[in-house]
Amino acid sequence: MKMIPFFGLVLLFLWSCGNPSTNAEKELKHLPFMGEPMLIQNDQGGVDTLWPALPAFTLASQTGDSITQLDLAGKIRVADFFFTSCPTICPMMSAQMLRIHERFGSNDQVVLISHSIDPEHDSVSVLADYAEKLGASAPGWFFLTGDMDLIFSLADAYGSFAEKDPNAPGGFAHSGALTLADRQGRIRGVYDGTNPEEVDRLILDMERLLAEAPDYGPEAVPVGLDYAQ
Amino acid sequence: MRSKSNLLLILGAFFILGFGALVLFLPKGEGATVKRGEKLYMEQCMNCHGKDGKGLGKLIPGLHHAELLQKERLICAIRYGKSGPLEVDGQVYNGQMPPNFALDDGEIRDIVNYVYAQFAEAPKSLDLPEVQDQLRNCAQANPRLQW
Ligand code: HEC
Repeated sequence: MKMIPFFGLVLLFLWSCGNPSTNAEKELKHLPFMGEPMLIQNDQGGVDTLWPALPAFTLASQTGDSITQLDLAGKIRVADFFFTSCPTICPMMSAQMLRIHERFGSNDQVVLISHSIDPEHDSVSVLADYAEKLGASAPGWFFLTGDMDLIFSLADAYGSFAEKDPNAPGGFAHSGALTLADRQGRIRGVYDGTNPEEVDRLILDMERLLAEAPDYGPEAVPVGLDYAQ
Repeated sequence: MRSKSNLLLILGAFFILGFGALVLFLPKGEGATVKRGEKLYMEQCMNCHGKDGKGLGKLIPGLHHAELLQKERLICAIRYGKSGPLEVDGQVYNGQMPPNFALDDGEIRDIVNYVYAQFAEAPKSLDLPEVQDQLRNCAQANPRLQW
């Protein structure tokens, strides 16, 4: 008689031990959401969880077209921040972006965006030449130029980093991050674009995002800077 | 008696194997410069020309082309950089390789020897005086480079 509750406890104990790990495994099938949730009081007296999405923007692409967040809507995007005359890590980032482009180039659910952090030098025609020589083509891969302050703030919003620095090689200090965002513009991962193994992982994570229902997770709202004109 | 001689045999085998491995893998003169060159290549060249020396599209040439590996082109490019149109195998490159004055003559020799060991069809090895000779010629051949 006394044994039954004891067994019950043991079972409960085993179950509670086992459970978190299986839950964690389930969670792992979905990529995490990067950033902080926004908790908003709703009319029913409850709280809605919203997620910050990447900000709106208007920039010019290597084809001379003007590109906004609307051109990326519903697509999975990979973003980086580079400049064409960069003597350090940019060629490695471009080489890794090219791998991704070659892998997903024919998939219209995927878009790559490379922002020039030296937009004064990297005009539309300089970017067109760079893209052609690299083997990149729109609309699968946009090279973007425009207002430098906007591009620097976008770098920040993407969990990357860029600034003018006369002491840095080429005149700019910047990160080699590749940022992965989902169909709703929520950041789901940041990877080292100079490390082929991290980019292997990024490619797998892109497959996971492609398989994910577009409305999965907390609703996204664009926040922060809004430079859309 | 028997087990003792077996033991000796085994010890002897270990000794021979160990010594053999030491001779095989100990960096010889040439191996050492290539080894240092590999490290320098990964720090100074790999970002642009790639770990495998394949370059990047039509932006950066690969290093498998014999013409680019002519010692005067390779050695001068490492110290003084290279820009302007460069045609190889029907492809015209027009990029910019920055000069690198931080590398001393010996380090340039090491990089050159690594590049030859890794990417040249007929690997060869240069010694320091050869490299220094060439470095003097780079500066003479191109007055623009004398600063
Ligand atoms: C910032 C990128 C970059 C780095 C770093 C770099 N290169 Fe280059 N390299 C280039 C580009 C671009 C060219 C083609 C230049 C042109 O089009 O005129 C080139 C050309 C060359 C050439 C051909 C030179 C000639 O005269 O034809 C050789 C050889 C070479 N690089 C070797 C190296 C080695 C060895 C290193 C490391 C010490 C290195 N490069 C570092 C970008 C780079």
